[in-house]
Amino acid sequence: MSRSSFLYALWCLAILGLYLTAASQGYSPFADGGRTAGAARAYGPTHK
Amino acid sequence: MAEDGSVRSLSCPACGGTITIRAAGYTVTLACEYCGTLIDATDPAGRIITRYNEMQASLAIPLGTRGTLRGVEWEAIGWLQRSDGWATWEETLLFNPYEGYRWLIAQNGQWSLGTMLTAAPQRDGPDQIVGRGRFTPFYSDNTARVTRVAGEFYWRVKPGEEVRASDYVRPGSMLSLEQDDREKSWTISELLTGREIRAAFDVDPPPVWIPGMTPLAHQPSPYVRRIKGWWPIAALSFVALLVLLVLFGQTMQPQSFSLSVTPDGPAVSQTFGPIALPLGKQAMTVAASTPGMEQGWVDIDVAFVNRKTQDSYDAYALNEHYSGQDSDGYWSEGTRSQTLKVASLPAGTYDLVVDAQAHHWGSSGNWAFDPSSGTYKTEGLPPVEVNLTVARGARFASNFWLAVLMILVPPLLMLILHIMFENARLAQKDGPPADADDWLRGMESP
Repeated sequence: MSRSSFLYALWCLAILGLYLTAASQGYSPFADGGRTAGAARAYGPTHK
Repeated sequence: MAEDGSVRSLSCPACGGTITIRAAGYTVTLACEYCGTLIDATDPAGRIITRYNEMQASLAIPLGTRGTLRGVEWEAIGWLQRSDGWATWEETLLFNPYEGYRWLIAQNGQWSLGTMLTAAPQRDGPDQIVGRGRFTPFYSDNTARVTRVAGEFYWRVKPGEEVRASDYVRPGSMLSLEQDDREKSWTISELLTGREIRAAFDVDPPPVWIPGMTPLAHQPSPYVRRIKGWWPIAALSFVALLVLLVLFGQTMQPQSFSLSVTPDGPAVSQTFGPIALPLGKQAMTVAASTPGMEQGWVDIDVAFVNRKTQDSYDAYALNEHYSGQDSDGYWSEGTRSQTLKVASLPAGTYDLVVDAQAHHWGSSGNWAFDPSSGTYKTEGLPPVEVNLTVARGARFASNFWLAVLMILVPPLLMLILHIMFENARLAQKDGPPADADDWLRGMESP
């Protein structure tokens, strides 16, 4: 394995580690919880 | 003229500098490396062919230097500089008594080892075949002119000498045809790695290509090897992510709750529970559905409130559904169900506090103007049932795709650099513009 492949494999391992940590903590930066505070709400159909 | 075995030396008749003949018996022309004067090496008296009062060229590989390239020890005996009008390159003539001559060609800091072919390559359409290598046309009918010369050569070389040159390439190699009125010669040049040329002649390694630099016609993209080496790692990581997504994306212990809200009626607030979260931090999934909702919307605020700390984790769903008829026929929009995912709730016992309020849209219901609020109120509409299913755990597809993107960032960066490299390389191509075949050949390994 070349040095660049080794470094890339390390990068992928780091990403997998972060994903695993987030999954085990039930974390997501895109979760719905807590995201709606202050958000604008629009109602009604948009059909024309 | 002094003589010592197979190596002879003489004094330059122009400047008096000592010139060593290293390929005695083969050399026809000598160029003084100090003043550039051309000397007839076959004349015992060292007859001057042409006198040049040039300064000694600053040679990357001084004449007489020996180095081992690919298992053969070579000695640099001659040097010349050539130009085709817009590019300039240097060629160092290497000599080994058993192997003959080779050329070290230096351009843009890159070094190639050139070997003259003893037989013409096979022609296949516009391509040339040498062994199992297919070379495609790149430069055609350029005029290469010798501009400077030093050392000894096996033909009568002099500045100003011109040949017509055509070049064919494959990644890592160039096949060159040089011809004049008298002869035609084929040379195959193989690009040397920085490690090879440095180990052989201790010259500076080739520069790393960066956008803006002009690569050689036969220079392989340095990014192809990485892309090819990385994609199995990326594929393996993708599979691992899929496994993690399945393992950590399951929900468990669902609990169902429901409440009713009247359209355009008061907001309803209700508390459900307890919901126990025994372990560490975990996500919660709340599926909120309003199956009876028509021509309106329901605001649903959910909050997980920790009984001990009163910390609140909130989420909001908007269920709405509208439909009607127009000139195109029936239409509908909106959704009667939403799935909310609340992240990282610490272990504890929670209450689920739900605030819901339903509203009716338009005039299809029994509505009347309410002077106290200044709005139209719908009357007589049935209440809307709000069903909630709360489960431990959540599958965050966004995390998965973010991780996939992060894994793909380095290969995508390499791909962009590869495209820029090939763009710069193929921009030099003579003849028809580069096509898909040229791009595909650029992906081949040397």
